[in-house]
Amino acid sequence: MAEIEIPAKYKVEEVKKRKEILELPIASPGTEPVKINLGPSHPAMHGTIKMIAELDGETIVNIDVEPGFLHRGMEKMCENHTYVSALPYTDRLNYVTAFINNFGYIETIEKLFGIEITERCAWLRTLLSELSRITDHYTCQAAICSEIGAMTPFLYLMQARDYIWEQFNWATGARQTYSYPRIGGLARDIPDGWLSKIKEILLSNIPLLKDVHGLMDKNRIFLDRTQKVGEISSDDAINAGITGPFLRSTGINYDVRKAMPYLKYDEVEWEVPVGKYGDNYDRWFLRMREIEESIKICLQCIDKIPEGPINSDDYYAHLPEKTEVYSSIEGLINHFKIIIDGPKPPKGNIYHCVEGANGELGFFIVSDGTGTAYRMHVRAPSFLIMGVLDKIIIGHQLADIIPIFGSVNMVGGECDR
Amino acid sequence: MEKYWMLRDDLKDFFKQFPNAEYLEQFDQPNIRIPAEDMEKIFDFVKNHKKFPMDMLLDITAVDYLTSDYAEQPNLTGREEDLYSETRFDVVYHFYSMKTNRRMRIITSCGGENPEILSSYKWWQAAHFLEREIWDMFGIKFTGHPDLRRVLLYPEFKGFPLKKDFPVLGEQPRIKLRNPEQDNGRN
Repeated sequence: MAEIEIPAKYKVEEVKKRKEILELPIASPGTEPVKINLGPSHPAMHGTIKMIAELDGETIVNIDVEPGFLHRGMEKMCENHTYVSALPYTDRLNYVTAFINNFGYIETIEKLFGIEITERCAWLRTLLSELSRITDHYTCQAAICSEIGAMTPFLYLMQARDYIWEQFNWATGARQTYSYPRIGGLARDIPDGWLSKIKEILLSNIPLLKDVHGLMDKNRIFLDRTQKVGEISSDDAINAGITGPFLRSTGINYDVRKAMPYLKYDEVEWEVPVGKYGDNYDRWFLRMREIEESIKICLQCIDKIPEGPINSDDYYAHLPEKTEVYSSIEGLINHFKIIIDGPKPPKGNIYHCVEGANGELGFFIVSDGTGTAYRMHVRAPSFLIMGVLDKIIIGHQLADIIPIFGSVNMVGGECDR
Repeated sequence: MEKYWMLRDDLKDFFKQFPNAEYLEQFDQPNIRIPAEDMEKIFDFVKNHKKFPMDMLLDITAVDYLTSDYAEQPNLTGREEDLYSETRFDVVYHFYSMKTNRRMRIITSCGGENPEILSSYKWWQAAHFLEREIWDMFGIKFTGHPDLRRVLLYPEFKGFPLKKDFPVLGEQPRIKLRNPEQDNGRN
């Protein structure tokens, strides 16, 4: 039998050299790995990512993660729109937690202008952020379950998520992309009876979480596919810039809500759950615990929300009341100045971060003194996780990609921008 | 009030070692501007600092100052000769120290016909995708990065979209069907 010539780049020395740079395992010498494309249209790739896996048998020896199938150019658009009209783009970053993105962006601008928001507004924003986080974790957990084959918890969690989204719809007029805040406040106050409805839903979610725990926690199939799969050590996670539930599952207690408190997080009682091994199972369990903590925060917020105005008195940056716009010349000028020119902040660089559902969501804005940001950059937590995903996956089996990818909760909108 | 950023007092030994560094506070956040040739020493120093080891690289981004008459880059006004100015791009690093809960921002400039800067991949793995993104969006090369290619856009894309001279409206040329032996455009 004639000898098959191995291409130069698959020769043992070459592969070794390449792998040593990236500290990756080495395929069996003298063999050529098989290449498999996963995605971009694959139900488990969440629609927007492509992975080119090189297999040695069933084991993955090399993988190339390619994000970037949503060419939206969000940062470029923010450089061409005023601060006010760039708000709806932030909805689409992590489209499951649009409130957190909205508030993160608006708070950055409020810091830029030096505007202080009212008590009621701050409490409402805290409540809405936490509700948003609950819906995101429900989505992520449901996705992991359904990808592994467990449809019942998927349906339970999706239903619970939709009950909350219905209430968001009532308050803001949209289920997913709200654009609810304004600089210095919110678009409108919440409707009467909204808080009691939310409280009812949250209390009904506590037994539901028990059901989901009961279905999954000791399920043999689930344990086999999640425990000791997709492990990462805490040092590696810190070095790779991972934040959020992913980092906490490795045992590091870092949460922006505690480390750099914003809104009212320092006035409510809650704790940061941490994992131990940093594998899929820890991430699953940690998200379940975080949902419980978020429910705790929400219930405290509902009791503590004071009566009072929703918008600040500073009319430099936020829109005046509609009654004033239609009845006084000052109100009209104010309205048009903000819509057409945009409010003009002082010059300088600013970075502000909030705890998004996947980690630290930061906004870096370079202001040149005009109504448009000279440069706006989003520090997207998913993007950094994608940067280290190859290291986590390599050495596992092909089928393990699905639970690993599900448990890191990549959101295309935020990763691609 | 608690401090979350490394302010001038915390950085005494830093300024002793690097007297060329400039310090500017904006919105209670420090901007530390350093010359590009010191980068290697500064990465070493910042990562292994005794009191405030910056063990996490939160973010890297770049700013193109081509069309600004912004105070920090007063000479650039979008003229043709500014295209290859030595101070056209700022590369902005955000660090975080997990132990002491402090943040730090370091800014350095680069420019010229082929803007180049030292990669921080050796110190922080987080730089892997962040630097690829900057190469993708601004065309700044990171020397020492093991795998520098486009990350969000496809390899045949013309131009660097976040540069200020890249038009908002326009069309990219159509690309040919890739040769399957070409390894997905990676070579």
